[in-house]
Amino acid sequence: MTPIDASEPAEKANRLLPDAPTVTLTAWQRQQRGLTVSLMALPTVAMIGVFVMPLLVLLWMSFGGGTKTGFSVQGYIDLMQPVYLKLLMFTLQLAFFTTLLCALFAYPLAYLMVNVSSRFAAWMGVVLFITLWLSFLARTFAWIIILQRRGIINNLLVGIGVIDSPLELVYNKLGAYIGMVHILLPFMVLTLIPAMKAIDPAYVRAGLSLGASPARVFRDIYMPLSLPGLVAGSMLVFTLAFGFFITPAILGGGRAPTIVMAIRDQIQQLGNLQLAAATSMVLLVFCLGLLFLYDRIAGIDRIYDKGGK
Amino acid sequence: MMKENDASNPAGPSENVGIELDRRNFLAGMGAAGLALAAGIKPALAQDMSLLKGSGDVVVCTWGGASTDAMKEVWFRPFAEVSGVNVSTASVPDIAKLEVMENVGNVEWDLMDAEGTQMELAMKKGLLQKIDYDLIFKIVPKDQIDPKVIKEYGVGSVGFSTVIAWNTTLFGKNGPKDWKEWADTTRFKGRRALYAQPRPSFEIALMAAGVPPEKIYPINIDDAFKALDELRPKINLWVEKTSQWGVLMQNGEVDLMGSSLSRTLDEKKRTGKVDFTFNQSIVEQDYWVIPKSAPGSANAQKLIAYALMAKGSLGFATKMPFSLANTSIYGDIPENMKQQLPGYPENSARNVQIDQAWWVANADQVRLRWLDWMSRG
Repeated sequence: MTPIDASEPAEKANRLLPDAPTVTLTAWQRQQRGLTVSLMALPTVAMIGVFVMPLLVLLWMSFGGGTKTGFSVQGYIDLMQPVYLKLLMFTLQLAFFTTLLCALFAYPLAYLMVNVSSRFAAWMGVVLFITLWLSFLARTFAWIIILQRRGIINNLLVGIGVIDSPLELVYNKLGAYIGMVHILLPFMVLTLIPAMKAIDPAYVRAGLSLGASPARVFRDIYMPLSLPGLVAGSMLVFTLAFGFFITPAILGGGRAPTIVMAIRDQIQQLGNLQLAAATSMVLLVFCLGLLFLYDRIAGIDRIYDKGGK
Repeated sequence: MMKENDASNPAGPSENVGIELDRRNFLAGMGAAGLALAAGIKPALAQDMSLLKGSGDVVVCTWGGASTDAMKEVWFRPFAEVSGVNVSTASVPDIAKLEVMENVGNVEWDLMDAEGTQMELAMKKGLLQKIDYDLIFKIVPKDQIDPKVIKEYGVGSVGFSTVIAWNTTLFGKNGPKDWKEWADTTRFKGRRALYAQPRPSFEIALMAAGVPPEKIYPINIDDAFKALDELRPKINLWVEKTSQWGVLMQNGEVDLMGSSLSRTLDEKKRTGKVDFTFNQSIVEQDYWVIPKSAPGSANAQKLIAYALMAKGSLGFATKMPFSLANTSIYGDIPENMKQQLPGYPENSARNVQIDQAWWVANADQVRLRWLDWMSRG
């Protein structure tokens, strides 16, 4: 760094800050700026080290970096098999409906937690958090105990005579959805809560006092104001669901093969890291494309809005 | 094929209870036999053990779970005492990871318990070093080791079996005698489960279609998928992880299985609701392999030699129902354990050995077609 007592570089730096006055910085301002830079240093390094670097390494590997064969686009060429598209489409479908179902269940749940007595809300929060602490695999096996042919639900239904033979609740796509929605629901609820908390109740009261029906108040006031949470939550859940592997693999009973299974085979069975990296890059670009589309529709910048304030 | 002991196995605590109890009873009676055995080969043993002396460390990469616990007890800890080498374990063997380690010049594993197909893949990539048989045969007589598992870049560690198993409440003692019967839905009415993996589903489907075991390899991939198409409507669910077998068997979710021997044996001992046969059981052999740039490779060679000795192999066989490279041990196996050891000559004669070289040579094609086939179901 050049010393900052020379006015020229200071002025140059000032041009980067849109609202800053173009006068020479005072000692106080210089110190402030130094503080900002030093405070930003650690997060910047962390961002680069933790997020940017691995991505660059993955990109490098997908073009054959680190292999004996040298650089090539072979990984991407190998990907042009119809089966990959098929797996991708199924994974997309799985992630989409999981997100939709999570939103449907999480919205009333979050609304309840924000609007009922704080003690009850705290209990609900505890229950929700506890499920987050348990391992994926343990919860997956718990669902088997509940859903299987001689599981809790089927035994109950057969026992009270509602059905004659057990329902096929697991080892199919239904089982995969149940497990995934259960595991991802807390993420949706937890992103919805702050958004709903930030909604000023005065808006709702104003709407009601001006004669709007409760349904109209919800549709025109509450719902749009809670949208940032829904947008953030659905992005989070969709992205997580897209990369899900073990839960659909076990609860799907072999009937819900995802693209992640192909990546696993590429690594474990074929030892082809270039192909696995290329597949991951395509997935990443695909996901970014979807987010871009989502941004155009829903507006991702809403996440930073604070419920109408 | 899936590993017997996924590190993340949730059924952990209840596992192998039956075997443990049996082992304890058995060990009490075994003391004398063990002594006699040791006495018989003592002169050679005492002389050669000095070759195992070493220093420093050796890191063994294993699959975790109960089999690693058994390995620690019968092989790793006793070896550390004899040799003075520090043994530590890591998990799990992964050839892609090994390749990265090799490329960046920082290999963390000195010895791996690799699946046969992993060994072949690593050999293809030039990631392994040769096994020092000069040393091994100074410690273990050559005629004790199964010649089938003596390979240039690996020597047999343990073998995992997938067996025909059935629900005894439906079929009693009279379960299917081969895969053809297993797939016969008129004789055996019940729900069926297999691993959601091409290996060993190919072998199973072909045998179910009537192909004799000795004619399976080289597999005609089209025939295999044709056989799988026949089989698919009969399979109620495909199993992703070995740890699922317990919960599937305990609740009678399925009645006819192609399941892991160790999980099947656990359930048989615990509940008696499951039985199995060694007929056409499918064995996948694991090998001790040493990474090319392993820093502790000299110690790894010594540990392999130690692990191949009859005494430790016998100890392992009494703990886990896996086959072992040292076939001299089966004369000393008590009667009640013979029924559960895949390596016992009478049982191993009925085995089908996975041809790992075929699987690695055809992996690209098979894996893609398998995923495509699965996604149609």
